[in-house]
Amino acid sequence: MDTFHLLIAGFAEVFKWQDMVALVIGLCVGMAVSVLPGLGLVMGVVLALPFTYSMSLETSIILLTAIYMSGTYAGCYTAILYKIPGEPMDVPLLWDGWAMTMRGEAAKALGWALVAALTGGLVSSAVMVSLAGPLSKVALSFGAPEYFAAVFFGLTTVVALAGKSLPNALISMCIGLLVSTVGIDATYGSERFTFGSDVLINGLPFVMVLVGMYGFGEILDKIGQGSKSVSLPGSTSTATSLPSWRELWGLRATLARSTTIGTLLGLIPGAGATISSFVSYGVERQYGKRGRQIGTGIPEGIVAPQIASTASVAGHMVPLLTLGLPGSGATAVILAAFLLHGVQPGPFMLKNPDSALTVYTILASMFVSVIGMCLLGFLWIRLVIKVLKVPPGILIAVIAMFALIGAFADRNSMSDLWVVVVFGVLAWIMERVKLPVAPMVLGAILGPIAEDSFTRSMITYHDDWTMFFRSPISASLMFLALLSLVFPTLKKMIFRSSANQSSDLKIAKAAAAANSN
Amino acid sequence: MHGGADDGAPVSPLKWLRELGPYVLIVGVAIVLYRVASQISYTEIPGQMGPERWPKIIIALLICVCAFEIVRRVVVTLRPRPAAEPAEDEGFSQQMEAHPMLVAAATAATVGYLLLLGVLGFFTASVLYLAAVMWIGGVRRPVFLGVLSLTISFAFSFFFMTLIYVALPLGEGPFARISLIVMKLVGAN
Repeated sequence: MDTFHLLIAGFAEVFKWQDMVALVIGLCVGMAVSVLPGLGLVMGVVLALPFTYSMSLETSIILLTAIYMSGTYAGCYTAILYKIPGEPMDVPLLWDGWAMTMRGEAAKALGWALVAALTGGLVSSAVMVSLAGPLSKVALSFGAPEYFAAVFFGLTTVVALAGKSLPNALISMCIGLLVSTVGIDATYGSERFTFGSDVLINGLPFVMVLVGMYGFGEILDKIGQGSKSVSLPGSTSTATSLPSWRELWGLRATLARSTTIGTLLGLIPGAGATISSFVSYGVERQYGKRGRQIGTGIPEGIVAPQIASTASVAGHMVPLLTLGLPGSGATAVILAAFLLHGVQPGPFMLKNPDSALTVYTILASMFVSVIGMCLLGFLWIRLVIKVLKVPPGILIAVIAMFALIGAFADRNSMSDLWVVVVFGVLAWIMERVKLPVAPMVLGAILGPIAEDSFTRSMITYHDDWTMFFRSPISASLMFLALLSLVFPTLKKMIFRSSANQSSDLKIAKAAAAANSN
Repeated sequence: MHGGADDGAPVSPLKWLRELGPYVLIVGVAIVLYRVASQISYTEIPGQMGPERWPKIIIALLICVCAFEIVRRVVVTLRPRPAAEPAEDEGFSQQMEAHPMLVAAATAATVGYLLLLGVLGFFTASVLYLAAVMWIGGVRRPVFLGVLSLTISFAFSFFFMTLIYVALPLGEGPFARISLIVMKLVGAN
């Protein structure tokens, strides 16, 4: 079957009742977590993960993708209406969105955000669907060295973009990779780092590591911040007023630019919705027709970040489905859901007709999710926003219970709960000492894949390290990986030298002024 | 943070500990793990890497990165710096929460919950845990707290036991009887 027919068959699967129910629940959960400041969409995806165990693969991935997709959108409501960014990606939205609200144009601002999410989501999904086939064909030519180089590239990019300190991000990634080595080794059957414990023989369950680090760690973080209820102004309307065709045509360049940025950045591992949102806002400010007015409350300031953050979802999903490489925290959790069902996503999925249908069902669900989240946002957002009125203490307690019992429900194992708590506390400590959590989680998930491809390469090529640099694909990927590691340092050096130059210029000007006086 | 050397005063031991302590600790643990990795037993195949190679590479990388950061921090801390230069804060800096005791209390409550789950059963343990976490989270109305904990525990019991058939711990003795009553009330078999 060709792409088009597979996509149609995928749509038919999505409209089956189980998948539709999962999709609607996912959209609601994603909206709820994204309007709550501090509870990110990744946490929503993580909390839902243990419940997917009893579902079919398609249904579980549709549920998680819907949470991910709507998590990039619903935060616009609180950012625009109440100046409360539910997610970091919503911060650029409030600069112009809040200014429009203050001018009494809240409905218009929400309308622009809705159109932006719809455009970004649909266009990038369409682009990614057309890229899925060619990408997986390229990936099919990968041998073990190329695959290791691809995983290595994914890891380094995520590390490089993870935080302010590259060494700290690398340390975190190494800890994650080490966590993944606990248990019985797949090649030799030897016990590694089990310290005689029966619990550790099968390795640390990555789902529990995820629930602990993203879920329980986040709960501890919220508790540590104290309880501050959000007070919402009672009179603000949540009505949405859609822009006219003429207004839309006027912003065609912004729409095209931001969709391209979101989709392309989505393809880069590590550049998540937040980075896409900020980059798109920055580009619009620099190159947009009304760039200088951005920040004063114009639609471009809403459209650019919203479109890019929603477009980045499809950008992240396709590398996951075709190469098995997650590029963000949320896609790492979705990869975990695949592994939980005993499926390793990758190019082989498109070769087999059954699994190809699964891939296209998931891709089709992205289109339905985009439309669904916009409809839900339009109709039900008033209800979703009410979640902000729930006292944080109650919300934290309920989420903690969900995280713990959800983790227990996975395998009915008490030791899993201890793993959740231990890794939750570890995540909290890591955050305190500025070790980013995301590289560790990605290390823990990608570790087995990296080790497997590394071991196979070393065995096949008789311990010859140079094979990673011999084939053009693996050499390019290794080069890109090294570049992504060096890039932050280079960027900092360039920034410093330009800052020095400008300060020298200022001093020279001041001296010239003093001389003329 | 890095201003120790700008006025010529010696850097305090506490500052050294804060700057380097976590890295030194990680290096220490990594060295122990490297030794553990060296003792992994397997049947060696000539010309083929063993199961200890991959973890050893990661540990070596970990030690190298930590060593690099330790040296960098020592250099930055000892380097005389103009007073106007803003402090760089890229690495470890113990950033305490506004309420670290609340975090400790919530962790203790969770550990207690896990320890008591088998004895008290899911329902009773959850009522207590929810009440404790909500109290820690700032909800300080006892009656409201009690009613809410009971309601949420019932809701969780219904969701997990009746809807998704999870066999949650029943507890022992009288607590098992409470769990069975709750199961009947939520319609779980």
